[in-house]
Amino acid sequence: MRFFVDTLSLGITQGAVFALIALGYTLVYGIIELINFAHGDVFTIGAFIGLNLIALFGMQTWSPALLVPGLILLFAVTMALNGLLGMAIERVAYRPLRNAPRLAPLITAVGMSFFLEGVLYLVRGPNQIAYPNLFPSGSVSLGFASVGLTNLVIVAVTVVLMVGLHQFIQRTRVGRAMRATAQDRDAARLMGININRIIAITFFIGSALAAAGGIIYGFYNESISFDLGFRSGLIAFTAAVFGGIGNVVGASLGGFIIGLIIAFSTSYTSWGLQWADVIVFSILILVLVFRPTGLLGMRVPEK
Amino acid sequence: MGTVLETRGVSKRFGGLLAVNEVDLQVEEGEIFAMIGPNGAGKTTMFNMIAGLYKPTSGQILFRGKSIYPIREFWRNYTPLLAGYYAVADRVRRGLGFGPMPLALRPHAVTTLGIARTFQNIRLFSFMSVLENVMVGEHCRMHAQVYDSLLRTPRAVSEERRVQERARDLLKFVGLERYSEEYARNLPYGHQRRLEIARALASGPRLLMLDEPAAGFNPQEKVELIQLIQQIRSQGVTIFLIEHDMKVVMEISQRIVVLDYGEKIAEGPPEQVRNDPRVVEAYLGKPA
Amino acid sequence: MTARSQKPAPSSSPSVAARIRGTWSAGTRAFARGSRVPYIVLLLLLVAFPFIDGNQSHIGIAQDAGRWILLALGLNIVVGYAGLLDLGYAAFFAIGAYSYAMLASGQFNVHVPFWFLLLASAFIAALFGVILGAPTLRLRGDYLAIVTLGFGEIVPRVFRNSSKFTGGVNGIVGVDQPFIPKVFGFPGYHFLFNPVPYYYVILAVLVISILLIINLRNSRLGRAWMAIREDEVAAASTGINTVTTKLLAFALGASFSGFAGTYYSAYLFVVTPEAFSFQAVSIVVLIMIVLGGMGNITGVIVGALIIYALQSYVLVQLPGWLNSLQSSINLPFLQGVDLGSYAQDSKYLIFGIILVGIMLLRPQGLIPSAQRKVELELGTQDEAVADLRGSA
Repeated sequence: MRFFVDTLSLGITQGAVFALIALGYTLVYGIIELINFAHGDVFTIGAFIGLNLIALFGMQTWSPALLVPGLILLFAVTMALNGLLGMAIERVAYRPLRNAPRLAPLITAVGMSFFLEGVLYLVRGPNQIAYPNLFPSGSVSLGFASVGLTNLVIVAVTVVLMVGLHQFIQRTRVGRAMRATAQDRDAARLMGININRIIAITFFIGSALAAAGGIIYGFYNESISFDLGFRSGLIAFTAAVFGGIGNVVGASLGGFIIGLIIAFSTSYTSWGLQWADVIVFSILILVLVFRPTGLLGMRVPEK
Repeated sequence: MGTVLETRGVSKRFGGLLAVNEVDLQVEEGEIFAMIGPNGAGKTTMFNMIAGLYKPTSGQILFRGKSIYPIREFWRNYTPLLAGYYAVADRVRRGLGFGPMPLALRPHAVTTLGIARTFQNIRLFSFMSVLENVMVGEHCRMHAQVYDSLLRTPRAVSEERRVQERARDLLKFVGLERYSEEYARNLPYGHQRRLEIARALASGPRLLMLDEPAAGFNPQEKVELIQLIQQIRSQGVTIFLIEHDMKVVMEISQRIVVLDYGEKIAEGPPEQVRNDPRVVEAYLGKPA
Repeated sequence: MTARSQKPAPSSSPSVAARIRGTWSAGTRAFARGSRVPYIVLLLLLVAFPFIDGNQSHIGIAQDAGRWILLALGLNIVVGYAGLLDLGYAAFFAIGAYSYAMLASGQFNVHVPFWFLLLASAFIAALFGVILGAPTLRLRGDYLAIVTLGFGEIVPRVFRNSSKFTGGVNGIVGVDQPFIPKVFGFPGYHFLFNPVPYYYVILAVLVISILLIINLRNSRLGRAWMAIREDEVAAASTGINTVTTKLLAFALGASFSGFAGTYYSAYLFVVTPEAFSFQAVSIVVLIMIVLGGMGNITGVIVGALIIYALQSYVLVQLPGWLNSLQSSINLPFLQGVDLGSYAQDSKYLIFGIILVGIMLLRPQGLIPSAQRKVELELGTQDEAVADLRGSA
């Protein structure tokens, strides 16, 4: 039982990170139908920005009373900076190609991913870098098992971000414009929506969420490396496809499910550790082949 | 003279919108059959379903008496697993009284059967030459296999020569032989429409579906188009067209069907349709 | 309406399309007209190369470059001709390499001859291409990119994890080396570690491949690829089976990769799973064709040579150059900065910059195919048949 609960909390916590990345994929794909290959590396950069801010302000030594507002600020600033990075990438690399054949922005996205990874490699080198965990480290006893406080805080933060995103998309004017743009870009433009602005905002939100995912990843795994984004990105994309790409709720759900699949296959089987990635990528292929609309369905082309 | 194309209770739903509602059509061999109706009446949706671009939500489409979506075709066109799924679903639907599973051949298979089409907003291969555009139209009548292509076998060479010759003949037929080396996108608008017809004819259709062929034409061009359509028909090709220009429709078609809000509201020879009160109402609105 | 009012220009001078097509198929035309002289001279020079330059390592480099060219030519069929983004090209390379290594080594004590497996592995790789492509090519084009990326990650992992069959992380060592058997009085010949016979094998394979690819491009199939690239919906409605046509491009591309894989493992004598990662193969080949010019054979060859030189010569030598430069100039602010290691570490960065830069500034590549150039500049119809028909 203890083992089961451990695995469950591991899966949900990892899944939270994948879900936060997957949201970025799904938002961008929903709006401009581009698989943003660079998104995984934007996530890594978010983790590094957070690490640098922590080091800059020496946050490891802050007292608990100071730490709570400090953490909120840390998340906010990192997310904002990373969001700006996402916007810049869109402005520089994708916007000029918006009317080119679809192949062109796809190749550019792959190139952008390599560029970002290259920058990280150059600056931080090839090795694993230690990451402090600023979330509380104790555990809560449930009697039959115990759950790490870090895990609980991570899930709480993730759920808050997801609910916030959902409310933003459903309730605000910008959110409505985003949904309109996703359905029919030309019609949205005719209704006076500034498409460029909406796309930029989408990239901002996606990258900001990835940054939150990056910090959480760092806190939980306590180390990061420059090429983290490649694997995490691919897994998160799988999650987005699994839930139904273009579907925000689906991406969150997909993230948690993929996280659980990885956790249970690594914990409960002797071969899981080696084969987990193969399983996930096979899921990606199988879902795309047999149910490309994913669990919850993607937006239907209304023609 | 038999029926070339028949639709039985064909419907198409996009989300909450019922674009086409239980439409029955019969296009007879050798006639010029027109489909008219206000914008958004579901005419192009109907075309797209017949051409295999949309799958009907329900109903059946028959070409020369045979369903264009027999399960057997699915074994060839789809992965066996999917075809098996469809076969079972079809049984279940019939058993429950929902009618047969609405399936459709993929567009290329429809074209190979003998239904060719043009598009309302011209869709040529812009950066291929006029001649190549027509040669692509002959693709489904060619037999060169991969190894023929790779090794440039005598078979491929002679077929390529034959196809090119036929493409030139077709260009002559529509009056574009002078432009055969031009990029398709550099042709003037009227010529692009003609090229699209030539490309459709290249697949050797029995039924030619024209989606608003006279759109944007001046009176002179319309006269030429009518001549061209009649020439095509005299060669034994049945014509099924969507058109907004009533003069063109009334002049060339033997029978007309009228769609409004996805439903068939009238059908018959031009003079009858012209005087049908429901048609007048659909076009002009209810008299006050 | 404005388009209509302008009367068609009388095509007295050769039309734009004709002129462009002229340069596009200049290679073929040259062959057809009989002006094959430059090509034959080049070929003779390449044949004579080992006799002119006795340096074994130079020939080794040349054959290695030839292998990359072969890979690039194969991916060009997929990306350049059919317009499909294949990010898992390394998987087929790995399948080719492991097919040979498993069927011609001490691993299972099976020793199938090299010449047979060179062809067979192309078929094996093509088969895997079909297995992967058949279901996924029905989907929208950009899904293929991610599916192939996933497949490219799966295959090396499978080879690494199934150590019973593939030797795991250590790979398979002691792969058979090709030999020409004793027949008709010919004494027989073992390749051993001499690069010269390998050089001739890859040269012959390249010449044949280029001829085949030229044929392909000018055939029924080549025309169908072009049509699908420009407007998939129109192509399908015109009678092209878009799925099988794309599948053929995918399988043909894979077979080139399988071919190269077998050759590679025979030459290297060893295969290890690490040699087939995304970063080591797939992306490098993609950069080669994007840089050189998608859809143009000459461009692809030039692109392959440039990137090969960059990654196996310039990037290797650069640290040394920079360090000596640094010590000779001796600027105070550079003291203690290891420029050399920076240069060595900048491979990813340089690759990324090349890809993004080319796509933004010169999407048609250095030596473009005229058709691809206009498509990339003016855009094509990107609606997919799958969009209209739904998923199935």
